[in-house]
Amino acid sequence: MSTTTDELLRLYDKHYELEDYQSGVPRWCTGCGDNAILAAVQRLCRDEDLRPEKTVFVSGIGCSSRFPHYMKTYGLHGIHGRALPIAEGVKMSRPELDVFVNTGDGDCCSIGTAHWIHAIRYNMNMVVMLHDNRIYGLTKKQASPTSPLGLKSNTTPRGSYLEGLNPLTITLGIQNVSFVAQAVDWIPEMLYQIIRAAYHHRGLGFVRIMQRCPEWLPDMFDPWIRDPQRMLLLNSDKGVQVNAGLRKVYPNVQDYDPGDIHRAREISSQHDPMPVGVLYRDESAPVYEEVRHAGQLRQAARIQSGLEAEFDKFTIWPAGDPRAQARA
Amino acid sequence: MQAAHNAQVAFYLTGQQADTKLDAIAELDLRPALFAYRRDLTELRYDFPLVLVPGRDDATAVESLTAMVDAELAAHAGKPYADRLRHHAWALERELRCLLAERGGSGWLVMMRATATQRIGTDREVADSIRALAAALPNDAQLLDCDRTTPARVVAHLWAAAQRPRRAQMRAEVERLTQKLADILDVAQACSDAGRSPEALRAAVGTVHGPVFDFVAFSRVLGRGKAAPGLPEARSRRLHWLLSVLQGQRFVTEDTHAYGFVFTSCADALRAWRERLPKAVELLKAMAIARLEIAGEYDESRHDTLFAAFGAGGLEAAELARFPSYLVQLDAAQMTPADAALALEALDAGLPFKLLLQSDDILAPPALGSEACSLGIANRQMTGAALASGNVFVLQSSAAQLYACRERLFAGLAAAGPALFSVFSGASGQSDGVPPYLLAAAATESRAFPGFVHDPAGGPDLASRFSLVGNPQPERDWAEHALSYQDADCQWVREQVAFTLVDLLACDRRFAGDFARIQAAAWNGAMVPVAAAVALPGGAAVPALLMLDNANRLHKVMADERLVRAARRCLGLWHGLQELGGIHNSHAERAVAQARAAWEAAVAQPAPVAQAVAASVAEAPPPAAPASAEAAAAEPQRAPGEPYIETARCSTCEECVRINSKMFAYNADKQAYIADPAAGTYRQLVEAAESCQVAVIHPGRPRDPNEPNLEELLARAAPFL
Repeated sequence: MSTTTDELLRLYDKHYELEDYQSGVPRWCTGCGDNAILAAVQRLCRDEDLRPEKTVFVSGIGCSSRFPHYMKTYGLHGIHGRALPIAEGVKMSRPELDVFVNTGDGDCCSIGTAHWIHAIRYNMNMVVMLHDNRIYGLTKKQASPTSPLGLKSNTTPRGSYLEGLNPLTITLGIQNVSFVAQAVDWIPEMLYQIIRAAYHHRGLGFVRIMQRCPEWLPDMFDPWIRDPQRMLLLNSDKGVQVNAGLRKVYPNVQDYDPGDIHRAREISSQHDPMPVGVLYRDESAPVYEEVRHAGQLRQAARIQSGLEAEFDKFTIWPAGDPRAQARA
Repeated sequence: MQAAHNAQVAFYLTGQQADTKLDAIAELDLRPALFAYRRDLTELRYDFPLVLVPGRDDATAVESLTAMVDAELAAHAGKPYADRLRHHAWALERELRCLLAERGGSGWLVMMRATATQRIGTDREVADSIRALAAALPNDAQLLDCDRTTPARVVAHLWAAAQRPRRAQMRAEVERLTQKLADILDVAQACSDAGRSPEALRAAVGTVHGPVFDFVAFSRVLGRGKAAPGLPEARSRRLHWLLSVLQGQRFVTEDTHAYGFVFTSCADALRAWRERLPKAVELLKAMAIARLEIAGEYDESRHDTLFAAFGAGGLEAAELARFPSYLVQLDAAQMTPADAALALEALDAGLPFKLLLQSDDILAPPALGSEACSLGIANRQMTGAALASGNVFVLQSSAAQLYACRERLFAGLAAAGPALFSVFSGASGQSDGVPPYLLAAAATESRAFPGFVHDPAGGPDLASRFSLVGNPQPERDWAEHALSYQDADCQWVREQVAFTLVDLLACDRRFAGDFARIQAAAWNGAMVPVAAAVALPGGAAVPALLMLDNANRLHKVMADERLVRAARRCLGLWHGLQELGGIHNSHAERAVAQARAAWEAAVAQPAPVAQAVAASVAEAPPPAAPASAEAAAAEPQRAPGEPYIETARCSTCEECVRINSKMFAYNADKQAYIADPAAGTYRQLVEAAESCQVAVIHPGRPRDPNEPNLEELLARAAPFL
């Protein structure tokens, strides 16, 4: 219900360009997929007219977690694995801020796993971007929980001996999950649309972004980049709609309904072809800050009167005291 | 026989009795035949009594006792005690009805339930049943029978239910803004020198732990830090003004100064409206400024002029909708023409006024002319003018239908704009032995007071906004019902009897002189039912209606020409309403007839139709051709051999711009394109194409044929062409 006053006030709002969100020159390697994610997020901020002072980027440790330094908004660069609890704290105390979380495959799926499970369940209103490059990049090539079987790294010189975790199926297995999507940094249009869908989703938007590390694993995603048939784009009006230009390059497009969690679990388990799009979406899942909101202002006077009322239940007034009569 | 017939015709034409075979009906205590079995309403289960339930915010705030009991019985259906429960529930319901009939009007459900329970019986089974039913019958509800006060109470109750969420929302918003503004002032105070003085600190810590602190030292330590500059003078003044407006508003408070929104005269309501309008503007302005101040975004240079002119053009509908609406209860009999004019003006202007126009007597003789009765002229005038305004929610209903149309009543009360509710209470006081409920229902049944709804929010056209609701058999002139009776030979006869205006007039003692009972000996074939007599223009037929006496014996009673004329007039008005509601609409019927004639004419000549079909087929292919031409044009025209980047697929990986930031540049979406193909070498183009992560750079042909190592570069560029 927009009135003339609202319209007039909006006239005075400042509009920000993409460069206004850029803070400093990123120190990521050339060819790093983090640059693509940065560009997509800056585009989103510009298109949604996000106010820099009302936007927060929270990260843990890793190449991914350099992100808040390059966004001219508020940011928190936290300690290893603790991006999610910090973000939840920000959201609880200032629910009106737009909170984005940048975390990596080591930060989220290794040291931060405990927080990850409960963050999904709390389903607080935020966008969580998992920059999954399948390696510990910042610390120079150690195997991460999502590294594929047989990967040779500095900690696994004879090849890693365990199958890599699938963050999508894990997230889909947690109670109260409400939005899970997969994006890849070499299809920037889908990346942008998916992050946008996660932003507009009411609840925790979990986006796993397959991200290239040109320094340590330059050929990791080559089979998928070279052969467009191995990318499966999911088209849905409740998720992301694949436009005609994309269909020409990536003809493997499937009409998909993100409302079915069993189908989502099934399709997330496959690596070949790699699904890209919104896998699951449920707008009705309860959101923690709304569930916990008392609905009333906690004014000092109200708290005091409540306490007085409780204490009055146990107060014994001397005989003849007027307050005894008043209570009766 | 002829003499009797002549006497009847004479009575019909003049209303004077000259024959002993025609009796006056005044002493006979007659009622229309279709009122059979309705002599004692307490024996029946019907909508009334109504239950006004507090605390509900929708149309279910008004319930019907019968519906509540039935719902509760359905919940217990199939249980072993269901039969006993039903028996006791119906007995309780009947006792409540009798109680209401004895005491008149209304009462608290809980008290009446106690009395009724005592009357049924005091054994344990009864007590069990009553306890099972107790959940369905809330303690704080009011029981309401149909009488003069019913429409006002029902509408007032629903209006309060509709206002509650709106008031709560506004009050919550005002409280929130007040709290946040007070917080700003508190913080400013705490950071100021006065806030750091020993006295202020002692007050903040309180008495329990006070002795532990040395407040002078405390203040000195705090004072060493940089003192905050404090609020600027203009801002401080503005914040105090905002607080005073928000805390002093009287629209949505609960204290004694709160504005009242219920009036009994339109002039009073308009006066209050005019007085309060500047306050409403001020409150909205304060709320908007407060929102900005709380977010820290109020900029005097930009916003001062904006708000200086706030509300100069009055408030628009969306802003008005945040305030409570005004309920005006008008009595048609006591409304002055000036008041009526004011009311119509207020409705037309779109003010949030909810007018209840209650008529207690629609059969009073008119002030002008020779018609027998005015047919509720005050209501007709008001509803007609309101319908003409187009933006007013209009609902007409008799009191008997109030429960059935409660959803629409509530919709009209909750909507943002003006509304008019035209209600006939049935409590005219002119009908002996006919309770108000029955008279109100009869008024709707006889088309004297038909029900309809006009909802401006229903759609863009009349068909979606206007509907005839609550009228029995709306496609017919008069409502017809089957009547079974035993004739003189004790044979059962079944007849379709129409309930007309004349039946309604027969209930009213003012018109007793216009009726005469025809004795059985004088019954003849020239007597026709009133409906038929109304349809015939001439005076040869004698209209007779069937009426019952106390012993349920049928009598034939004739009416004079004055009443038949009134019935004809009533039918004319009903036809007009039918057309508005889309039944037998003359415009629609004419259009349909024309279309049918055209179609029949077309069917009669088959050859031109085939030609028309062939022509439409021929037109289909051409539109497909331009579409494909457009698609081809969408591809950008590029010179062959020119280097290019598929910008939409660029993943911003920085490889190419690091090679040559003049040749490769980012666009507004931070995706790369070739800004200046001449700003670098072919080698750089090829290197960029090779290092591009998504292989979207196409180097084209070299511009400079003298560049060194061109064969090697061309070989490397081959996969990217």
